[in-house]
Amino acid sequence: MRSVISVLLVAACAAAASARQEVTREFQKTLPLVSGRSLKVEHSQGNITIHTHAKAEVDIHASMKCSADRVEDAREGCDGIKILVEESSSGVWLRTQLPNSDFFHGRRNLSWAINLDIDMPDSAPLEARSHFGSISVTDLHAPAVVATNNGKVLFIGGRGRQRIEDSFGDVEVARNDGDVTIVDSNGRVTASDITGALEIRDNFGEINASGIGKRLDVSAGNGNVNATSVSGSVTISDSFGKVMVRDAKADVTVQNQNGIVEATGVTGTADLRTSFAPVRFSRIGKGVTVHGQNSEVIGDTVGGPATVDTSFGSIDVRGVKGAGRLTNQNGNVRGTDIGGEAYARTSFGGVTLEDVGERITVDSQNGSITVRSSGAAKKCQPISLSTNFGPIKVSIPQGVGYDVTARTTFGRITSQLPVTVNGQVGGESLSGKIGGGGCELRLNNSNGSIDIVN
Amino acid sequence: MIFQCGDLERALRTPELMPDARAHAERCEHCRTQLYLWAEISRVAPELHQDWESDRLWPRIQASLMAEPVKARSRFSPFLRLTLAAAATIALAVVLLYPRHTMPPADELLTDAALSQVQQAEAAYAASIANLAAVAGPELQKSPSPLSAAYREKLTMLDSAIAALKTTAAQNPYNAYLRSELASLYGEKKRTLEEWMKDAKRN
Repeated sequence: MRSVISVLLVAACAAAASARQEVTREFQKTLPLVSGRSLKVEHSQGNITIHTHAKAEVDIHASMKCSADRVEDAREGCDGIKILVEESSSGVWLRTQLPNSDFFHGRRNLSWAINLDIDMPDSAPLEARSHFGSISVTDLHAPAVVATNNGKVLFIGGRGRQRIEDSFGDVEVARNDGDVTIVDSNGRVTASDITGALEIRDNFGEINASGIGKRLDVSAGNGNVNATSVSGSVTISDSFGKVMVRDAKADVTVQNQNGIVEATGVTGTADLRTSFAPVRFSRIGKGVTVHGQNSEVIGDTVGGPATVDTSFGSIDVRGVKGAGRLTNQNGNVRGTDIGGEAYARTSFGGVTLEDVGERITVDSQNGSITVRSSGAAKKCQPISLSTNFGPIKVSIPQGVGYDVTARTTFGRITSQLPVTVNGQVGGESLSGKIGGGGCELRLNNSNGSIDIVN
Repeated sequence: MIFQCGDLERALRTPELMPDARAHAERCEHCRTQLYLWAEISRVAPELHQDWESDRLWPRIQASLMAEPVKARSRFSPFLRLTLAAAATIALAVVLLYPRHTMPPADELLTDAALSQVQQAEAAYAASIANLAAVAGPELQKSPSPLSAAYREKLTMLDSAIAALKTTAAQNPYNAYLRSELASLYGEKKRTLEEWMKDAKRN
C-alpha cells in the first residue's frame, strides 16, 4: 500500500498541470563558530543535512517550498517561516519557526517543506533535533546529540561520543571513532565500524551491529539482533526476536525470550538463555552455559566446559574440551567427544554419551542410556549410570580394569567382556571385576536390561 | 504396543496409534494434559480462521487507482505523457530505491488531484485497518500472553504516532513526506495486526 501511495505522491509531484501555486524561498547565512563552541539546530517537517569543513564558521542554507491555492498565499506562507539564528557565548543556535495557527486564517490549504543544509566546523560539538524529518551528519569530529522522529538518521565518519535518538525511523551509524549510544523505537538500527563501545536500545526494530571495537550492549524487544565482529564483550537482551552473534572476541551474554539464539565464533565464554526457541552455538573459545526452556540445544566445538540445561527439547553437544554437564527434562541428551567429566540427567528421554575423556555419570528417568567409549582412552574412567524404564548399554575403554556393580529389577544383565564374579550370581544383579578391576562401573536400572559390550 | 510418553508426538501424526495414546493418557497426567491441549487446538483453530473485507478491498482499491490515470490520459499529449511517465519513473525509483547513505526527499508538495487520491487511499486504508482491528481487537485485548502484551504495546505506540502525524499533516496537508510517513505507519499497523492474527492461529 505504501508503494501505491508513493506512486501517487511521485506521479503527482511530476505532473506539470496543477491548480496549486508553488513558490520557493532560499535562506543563506554564514556565521563564525570558533573552537570550543557548539552548534544547536532545532527543525521540523523537513530534512537536515550537515556536512563539515575545516573553517571556523557555519554556513546555513535553508530551502523552503510553499504551495497554496493562490500564489500570494504561498508567498506569504514562505515569508511566514522564520529561520532564526542566534549567537551566544556557547555557540550558534539555529531554529526554524513555523507560522502559528492565526497565520492560516484566510490562507486555505497552505503547505510547505523546509530543508536545511549546513556546513559546520568539523571540531564543533553538535546538537540537532527535528520532528518529522531525517537528519544526516557526515564527518563530524566532535560529540553530537542527534534526535528526530518519523525520519531517518544517518551518521557517518564521526569522531567522539555520539548519541542518536529516533522513533519510527531507521538509524544508520557508520565509521565512528568513539563510543555511540543509539535509542530508537520502531525503527531499524544499523551500526558498523565503531571503534568505541556501542549501546543500542530499540523496541520493535531490527538491529545490526558489526565491526565494534569495544563493548556492545543491546537492549531490544520484538526484533531480530545480529552482532558480528565485536572486539569487546557482548551483552544482548531481547524477546520475540532472533539473536545471532558471530565473531566475538570476548565474552557473550544473551538473554532472550521466545526467540532463537545463535552464537558462533566466540573467543571468550558464552552464556546463552532463551525459552520456547532453539539455542545453537559453535566454536566457543572458553566455555558455554545454556539455559533453555522448551528449547532444543545444538552446539559444537567448545574450548572449555559446557553446561546445558533445558526442557522439552533435545540436547546435542559435540566437541567439548572441558567437562560437559547436560541436564534436560522431557528430552533426549546426546554428548559426543567430551574431553572432561560428563554428567547427564534427563527424564522421559534417552541419554547417549560417546567418547568422553573422564568420569561419566548419568542419572536418567524413563529413558535409555547408551555410553560408548572410543577405545582410545587407556586410563581409568569411572562410570555410573542409573535409569528406570529403559535399557542401559555401555562399552568401556579397552585394557582398563573395572569393578562392576550392576543391578536391575525387571530385566537381564549381559556382558560381552569376561567378568570375574564375586559373591552371588543372578540374572538381575552382578558384582565382579573386568580385567584386574580398580575402576568403578556402577549400573543401576529397574524395568530394563543392562548390557556391557565391547 | 507398550506406549510411552515419548511416543505421543508420533501418535499425533499417526491415527493408528491414537487408541494406545488415549489408553496411556488415562494413566499418565502429563500425556493427558498434552492430548487435551491438542484437542483444544484442533477445536479452536477452525474458528480462528476469518475472512475480512481487506482481502477483496485492496484489489478493488488498486483497480480503482489504476483506472484513475487512464481517465486523465486523454488530457495530455503523447509527448507530455512520455515526459510525465519518465519523470514519475525516475522519481519513483528515487523514492523507493534510494541507496544506502542517502535520505528520503522531503521537499515535495502534492497537487490537488494527488492529495485527493492519497486521502481516498488513506481513508480506505484506515477503514481496512478498522475492520482488521475489529476482528483482532477483542482477542488481543483479553489475551494474557506476553506476546499479546508486546503487540498491544506496539499498537498503542503506532496509534499515538498516527494521531500525532495526522495532526501535523492536517496543518500541512500537501507535504508529501508527511503523507508518505503516515502511509508507512498505516502499513505498519496493518502488518502488526495481521502478524498477531497469524501468531494467534499458530499458538
